[in-house]
Amino acid sequence: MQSQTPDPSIHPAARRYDCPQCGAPVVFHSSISISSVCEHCRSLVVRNDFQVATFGQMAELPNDLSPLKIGTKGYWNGRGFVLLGRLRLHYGDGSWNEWYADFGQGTYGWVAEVMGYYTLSFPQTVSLHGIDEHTPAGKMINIQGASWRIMDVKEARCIAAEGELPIIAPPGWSRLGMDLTGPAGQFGTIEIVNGERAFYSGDFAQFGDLNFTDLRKVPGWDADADITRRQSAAMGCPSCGAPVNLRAEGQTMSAVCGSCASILDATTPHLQEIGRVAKTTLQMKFALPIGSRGILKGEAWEVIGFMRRKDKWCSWEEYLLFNPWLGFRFLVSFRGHWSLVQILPGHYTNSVWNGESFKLFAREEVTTTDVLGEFYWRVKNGERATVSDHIAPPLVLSCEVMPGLNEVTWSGGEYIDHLEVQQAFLRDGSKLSPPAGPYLNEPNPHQQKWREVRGTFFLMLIGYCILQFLFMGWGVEKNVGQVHTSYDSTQAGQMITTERFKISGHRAPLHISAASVLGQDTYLGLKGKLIEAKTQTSQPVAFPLTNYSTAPGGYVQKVTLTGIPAGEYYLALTPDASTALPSARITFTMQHGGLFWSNFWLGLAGIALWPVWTMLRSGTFEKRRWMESDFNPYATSDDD
Amino acid sequence: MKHPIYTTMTLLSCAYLVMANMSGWALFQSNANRSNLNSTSYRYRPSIMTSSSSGGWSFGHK
Repeated sequence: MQSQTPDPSIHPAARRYDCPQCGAPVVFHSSISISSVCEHCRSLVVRNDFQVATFGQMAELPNDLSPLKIGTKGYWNGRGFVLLGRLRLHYGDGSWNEWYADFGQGTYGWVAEVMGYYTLSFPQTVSLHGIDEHTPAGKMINIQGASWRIMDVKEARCIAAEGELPIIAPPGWSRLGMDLTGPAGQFGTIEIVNGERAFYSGDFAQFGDLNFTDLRKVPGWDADADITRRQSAAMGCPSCGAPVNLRAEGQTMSAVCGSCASILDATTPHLQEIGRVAKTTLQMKFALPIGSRGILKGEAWEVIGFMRRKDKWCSWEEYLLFNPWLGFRFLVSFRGHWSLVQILPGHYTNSVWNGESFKLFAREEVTTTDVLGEFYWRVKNGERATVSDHIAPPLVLSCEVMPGLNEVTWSGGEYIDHLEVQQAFLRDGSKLSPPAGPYLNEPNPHQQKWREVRGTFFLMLIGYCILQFLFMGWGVEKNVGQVHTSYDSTQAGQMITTERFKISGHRAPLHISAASVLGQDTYLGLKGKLIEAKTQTSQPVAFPLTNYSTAPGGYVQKVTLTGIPAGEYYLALTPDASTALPSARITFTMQHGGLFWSNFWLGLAGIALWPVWTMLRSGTFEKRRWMESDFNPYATSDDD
Repeated sequence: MKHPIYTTMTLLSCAYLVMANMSGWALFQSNANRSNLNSTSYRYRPSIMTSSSSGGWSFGHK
């Protein structure tokens, strides 16, 4: 029965009823809501026109660390919404929250919290011809001209609810759900209830995408949370009785008892044993202790699980991190190299992620050999998967396919320095091993340097070449002229002085060629100076002229002097001649100007040496990295 | 500027080219052209081959 008493604390459009079971007020904030769980007696109150009736009593919601609550507001794709109610749905392997979100103006959607990420979906009116509960996972289906892939098919049962709902979901209510991925990575789901099919489409989202406000204070994470941490602290292992603390309660599906190595079902308060791991796992020493918390990349994370996996070549460790707002991440460690990895819901291509193109690096069958802690899936020893790693260092994109399932899980990671991990999680002074050898997504330090410097390099190279090109026009050689002098053996030992010649223009190289017709097998060496007539400054020169039958062509010698300024010059030379040479006439030809190309090459080396060295080292690094791959692009046919 | 040392080096290289070209100077150019004495056939002149003291000269060395 609708109450006539106005309540200033609720919206004027809201309707308040009295619970038929206990009389407590039950408020319907949205006109779309048709049922609401009484906060007092947990009866499911269903309204019909002005009448209300109860449809059974809902169970208490299990504890969880969800940061959402009724009344939490959000903003997505330009539309604000408020959470009015939730369903806790359970299926064979776990459970999750579906929040009923009122988007205003008579529209609503569902915000689901699944494995640490979120999905938003909105009811659509479409034809679902040919799709029924027997349609298998992995199949492509066509909905309104778009191809959607069925990711999984599962029947889920409502185990608890709170707040308002746009549906009637009495205790035990169940539905068959088909989760879909759209052609552009969108999220979709088909619900089948009593043969009635409904299609919901939307998107995957991260916590930050939804701009939540008015969040719940999370126990154990928010200092002023209403409930102190670990309501589950009293839970005990059904196998050995040891206490089991769930670190991501409500989010994880399995936990390994640290005392007896039993794998426990974490989705129910009973912690039913569902398997066992090797007891040797309990003796293992981990680089990161389970339960340790740290700030990584500016966010707080807690290590909640560990597993060791191997392929036919090697083994590595994976640590599961949890944050109530951000969900789950993996820290993958191999020989001192670390990567921070997250699941990519809705991802569908192996070639591009984060705007980067990826190359296939490895594809192997992987086996899980050891597990400990909590996981958001039903983990077990010996679990096998085919994993393909695609790389674009420092990023890695992995695709995991479980045998027998048509489910493909994509994850993306980024290389992280081991010291960053150490600083975040190891507060006791212990240290992580430094990286050894190359790793698939280890950033190439030389490539990074090359990328940083290549812009400057090419810019300076072009500028440098233009500079030299301009100098080639400016510094052309010009003929200064010729001077002649003679040698006479009767004046042997006396200095020979040439006529004066004038050099004009700027400082430039001076090229002096000495040529003489000498008798057979004679020589005439002329050693002396080029002297500037006015200042008497001089430059030493030497013209060793010869005419040997065994070494023809020696009768011309060229001397180049650097930086000769304008002025009037002459040559003063002392001859050294063979006794067989009676006399000789010597002609000196002078040219002024030109460039020394040695300067160009020297400067070019200064510009190019470091970038080229960096590029070569980068290439060597990449070759070493790809040596570890079956898809090595550097491999030659001889390597096979 | 991520690599100031490299940028400085490239600027110095350009400055060196300008300075050397404008002054007609070269770092690796022997002013005395000494190599002519020992790299040409002149080095086989009889005065050197027969006596080191009776003939021939060099710039401070035989």
